[in-house]
Amino acid sequence: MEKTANRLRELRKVRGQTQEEMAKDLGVTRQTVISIEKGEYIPSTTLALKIARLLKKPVEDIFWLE
Amino acid sequence: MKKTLYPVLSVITILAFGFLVMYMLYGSGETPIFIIMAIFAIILGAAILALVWPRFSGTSTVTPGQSPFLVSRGVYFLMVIVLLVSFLLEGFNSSSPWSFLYPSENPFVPILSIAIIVGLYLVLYLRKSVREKYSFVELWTMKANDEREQHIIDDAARKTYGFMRMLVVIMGLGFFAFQLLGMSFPAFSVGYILFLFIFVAHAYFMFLLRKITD
Repeated sequence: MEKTANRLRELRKVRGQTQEEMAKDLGVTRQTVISIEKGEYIPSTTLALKIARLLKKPVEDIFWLE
Repeated sequence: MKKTLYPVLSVITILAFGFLVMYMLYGSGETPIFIIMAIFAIILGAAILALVWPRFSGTSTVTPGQSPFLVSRGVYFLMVIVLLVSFLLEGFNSSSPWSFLYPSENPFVPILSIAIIVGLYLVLYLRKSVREKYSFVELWTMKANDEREQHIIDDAARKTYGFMRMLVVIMGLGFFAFQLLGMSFPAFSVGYILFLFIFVAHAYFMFLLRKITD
């Protein structure tokens, strides 16, 4: 079964943001950012697009199937 | 398949619950109260139906930010109010029609059982992770802070409702079987068991909520 992977942690660190700060920018809880980074929670399309907009990257540069 | 199955099971649950309520009252032998409570059971059934139908018919319109709590909150609230009031205020009065809710042989049985269940409930509620996130009142009325929390709560509500539904159906069939066999139900009455499993179900629900802060 295919799994959704991401490099949110890496991109967040490039921006110099903490999980708390990113969560605030995205309007979600810190636990949600943690869960996404760990791959435990797959965000909705809306949230994935918000993340892409925040990071100024295409969605597929952040999330991909493996 | 779920679109068909959920409403059917929901109706079965409601009918089973209505049957149990009426069985409890029929057992009291108080005809006027039976009629009033039968009407109440129908209203209760309609209220539960209104609460569960949109969610379990696959036409839910709940979105992040809205409470995903419709089913559990509605069902629990109505059942808890009915059973708590009757059980606690009138149950120990032997002339009350509700006195049959109590196992008569040993008063320590219900007291001990309630203590265990309430204790379990409190232990789970007092889990730091859940307590820090929501107050007691918010647990009944909370709105998810984001889509992940909504997903967790929604999943927990569905599982808990499934758990309750299974118990009610099994109990309904069990009591029906007892009636067919011409046997009176043993010490544990219908109302008493219903009362207990509401707490067990809510404790189970809160146990599932632990994922919110995992």
